[in-house]
Amino acid sequence: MKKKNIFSLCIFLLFLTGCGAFSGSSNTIQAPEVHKGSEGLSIQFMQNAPPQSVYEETNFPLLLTLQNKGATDITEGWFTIGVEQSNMELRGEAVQSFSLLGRTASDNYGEQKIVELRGHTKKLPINTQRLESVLSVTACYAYSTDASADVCIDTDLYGLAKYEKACQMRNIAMSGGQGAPVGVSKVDIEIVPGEEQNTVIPQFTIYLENMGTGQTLVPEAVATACSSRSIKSEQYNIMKVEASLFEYELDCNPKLKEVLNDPTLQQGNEKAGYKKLMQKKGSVTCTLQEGISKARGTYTSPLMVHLEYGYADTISKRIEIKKK
Amino acid sequence: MQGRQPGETRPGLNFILFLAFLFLHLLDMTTFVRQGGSGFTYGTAIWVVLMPLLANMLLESHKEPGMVAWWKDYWKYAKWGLGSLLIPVLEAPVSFLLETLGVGFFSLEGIGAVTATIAVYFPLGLVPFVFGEHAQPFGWVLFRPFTNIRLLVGLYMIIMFFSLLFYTSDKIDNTMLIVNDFMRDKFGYDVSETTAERSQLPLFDFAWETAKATYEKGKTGVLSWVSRAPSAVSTGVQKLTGKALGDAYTGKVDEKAKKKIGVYLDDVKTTEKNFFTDKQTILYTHLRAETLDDPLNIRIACIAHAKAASYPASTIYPKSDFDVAQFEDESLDCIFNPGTLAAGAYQVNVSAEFNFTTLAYVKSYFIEKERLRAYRQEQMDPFAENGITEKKPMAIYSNGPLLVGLGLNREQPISLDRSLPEQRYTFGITLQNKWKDSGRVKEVQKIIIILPEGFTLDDSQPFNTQEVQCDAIPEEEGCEESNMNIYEITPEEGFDNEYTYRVYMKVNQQAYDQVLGTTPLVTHYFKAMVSYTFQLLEGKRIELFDPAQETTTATQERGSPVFTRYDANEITSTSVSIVWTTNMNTTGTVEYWNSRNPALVYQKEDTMLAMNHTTQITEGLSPDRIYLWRIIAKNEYERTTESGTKTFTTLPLPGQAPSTEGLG
Repeated sequence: MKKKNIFSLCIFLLFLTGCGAFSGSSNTIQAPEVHKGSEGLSIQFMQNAPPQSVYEETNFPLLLTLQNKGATDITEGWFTIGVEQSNMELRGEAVQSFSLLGRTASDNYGEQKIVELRGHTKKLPINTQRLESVLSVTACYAYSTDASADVCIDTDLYGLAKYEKACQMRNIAMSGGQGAPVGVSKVDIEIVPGEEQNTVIPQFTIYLENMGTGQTLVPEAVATACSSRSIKSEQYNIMKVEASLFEYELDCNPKLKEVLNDPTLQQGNEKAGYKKLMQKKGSVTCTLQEGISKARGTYTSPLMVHLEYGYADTISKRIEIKKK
Repeated sequence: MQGRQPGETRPGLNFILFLAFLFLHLLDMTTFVRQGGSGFTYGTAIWVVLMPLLANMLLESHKEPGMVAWWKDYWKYAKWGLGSLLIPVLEAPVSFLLETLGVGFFSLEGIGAVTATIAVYFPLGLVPFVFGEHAQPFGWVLFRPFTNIRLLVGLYMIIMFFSLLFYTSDKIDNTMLIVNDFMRDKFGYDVSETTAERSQLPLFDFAWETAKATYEKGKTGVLSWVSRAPSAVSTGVQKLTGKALGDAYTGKVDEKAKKKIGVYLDDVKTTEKNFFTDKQTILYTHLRAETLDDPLNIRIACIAHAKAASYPASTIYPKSDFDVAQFEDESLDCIFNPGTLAAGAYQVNVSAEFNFTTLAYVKSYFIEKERLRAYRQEQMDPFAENGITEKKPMAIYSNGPLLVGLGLNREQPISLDRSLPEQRYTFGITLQNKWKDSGRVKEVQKIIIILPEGFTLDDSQPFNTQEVQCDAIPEEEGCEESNMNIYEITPEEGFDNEYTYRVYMKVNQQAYDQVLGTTPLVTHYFKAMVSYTFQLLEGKRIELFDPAQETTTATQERGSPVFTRYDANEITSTSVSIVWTTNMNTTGTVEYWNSRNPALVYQKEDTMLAMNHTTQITEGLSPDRIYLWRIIAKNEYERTTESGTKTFTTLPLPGQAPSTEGLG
């Protein structure tokens, strides 16, 4: 009897999965291929450059690959290479600026740049047979994310309409990123009554997530982040959010002054919202204040979200320096 | 008498079994006696064979007769035995953890394996007995309190007892050293002996002596540990965190360094067991020296110390001065010519005095203060954000006799506040004689500290310091005055195994950019170079005898036979009867030689295993001569004892007057 029940349950589960009841594919964001993934700038040391192990008082190659694997062009980027100066020195510019084009429909890889430098190991301290030294590269750049989705707007607040609705209003789950290290992970939709009786106001809660290994910061602090200069905590983990429903710009909150007490930074677009991420996550609320006439019924409209931020990421490598 | 029924358990037997295994396991755990060449250990035998076998025999009444039923029951317990073999797998991570804790908390390197064995292997192996189905009914009132949870508590008390015993030893560097020393003292046990030789050890005697010594050591050990606990905890925390607390700074040798640089002397050995004043007295040892950069000058001295005076060796072969550029591996002989030492006991010390330099460095991370605050407020890890994995860097020092610990007494990363006109830091250097068991730091000659660019010493210092140039440090160091500041500290006189220097550093505002560099977090190295003279010391007690003088002192190995009597009887002009008795069955060899010709030694063997021996000697005897003789007795375990040396004088031929030799 028990076996029979288990068998029936398996068959049922098979049916459920086969029917795609769990797929939810009709509600995911339809992003072009370019706007997929959670990578922005990829920084890598080339193989054996620097090598794992190197003798004292010798030169070694240091080759860095910078590749913009995201969907946004980098027009303002910096990288700085840190070496432990007691053990080695860098021959070449340790701090450099760069710009790299992002992925496009015709270039699925993004622009790549190879930085060629040389390092030189110093003499090991007396009676020291070996030593491990760390070499690091920090890259800081301004970046943005564009996400879009077709959302269902249902002006029939209380479900009184007798016509067949063109779509059903659902929250939108997103995963995998939109071609940038920071992306939209989910959008919740709510329709609230407007000030005027025949209007409704669509309200979107946009959930943001830093899916990369680095940190977000205000775009204006990009150059500072890649230096040893002072940087304030307010400037970290923050991003600007703009959203529109078809051609109508949404009003996003909170505003800059609510999250950042920095007079040097300007709100700019007054409808833009700013969000400070906590534990790499956060959400903003964007509304269409003008409202939508109830007469429009139920329809599908494109929601577009644009995020702007700076991004800082570091890679490092441990090198063994051996006595000759 | 009514027999037991199937399923009935014999009362109290599991407790007896527990005691038996406790005894066997402690024996197993604390000795290498059981170690076989194939890796099959006594412990394995216990858990796989003996335990199920005994459990089966003692606890189980067979429900069915016959071998098949017996095997079923045997297998039932064998599963526990096999299961317990998995425990060493558990032991590995625990061992690692305890070793880490041990190094830090109790400063006991190598304790991990023993403690893990005690803590994991032993109690878990006994769990089946404690909670097994046969642990339930106890008819024996006496043992009732020991069952189940009480038994476990008792077990852990034993564990604690043994742990503390090990923890309180100064010789913990080698886990088995205590046991080995003990066995050597009591039974003449030698770790270098073969398995076959070790298996001949008198286990019962060993167990009894072990129990007595354990009790005594444990009693004093626990008290001593309790009194030392607060400082041990403090030191442990300091060493665990790698931070300076109080006055001491710590460090570690680079574990991946392949060469064991420094100077090493082996134990001093003698060419003979007994020396005579009319012959050369020779002691030997082995010297190994290796250096990377600094040449070493080693001076060897051999001095025999008696109560009243000291006597240097007549010759040190091949030489007493060594200049080592890189590597030296030499056997050394200390030779005392005949007549140099009179009969009596001496402590011969072989010393190797050499100059040495130990270098230590510690890395430290620096970050702009506001940025560090931003990281912290944003709950970001400044190390992770900057690709740093070594968050609490500990000083690394080069191998050698001196531990050089360094530290900046600030939490890492160290912040630098650009708004302040200058920043001050304390740099600590602890010197500790790491080889204090085998030598002493005779003199600390020079302490050089090398600070990164931007760091200078403050004007007020607790020690005499002066800025020096590159020429103050060895050329091999690769000095660059442009990006380092070098200072010399005048060492305090009278170094007594440990000393801490604290110097005050500062960074001026003009140097902030230099110090912080161009990256969000920067790493700087602080170095110290300590030059000193070290004296290694190895000693050996010897005893010299006058060849004409009778000796009665027997040279006896521990656990070996003891002579209760040995005499020469029935002496004629060409024969003598040697009679001896020992406290156990032995065979014996009589060695004898003419006092005029000690090189020609005759031997007469008595191969019968007995306590009373009589041997007639005729070979090599001439009338009217003085002969020295001794007996070497050997028991069935190959343990030997030499008697003292005695003399007898053969009779002159009839009618012949005794010679002057015969008259003694």
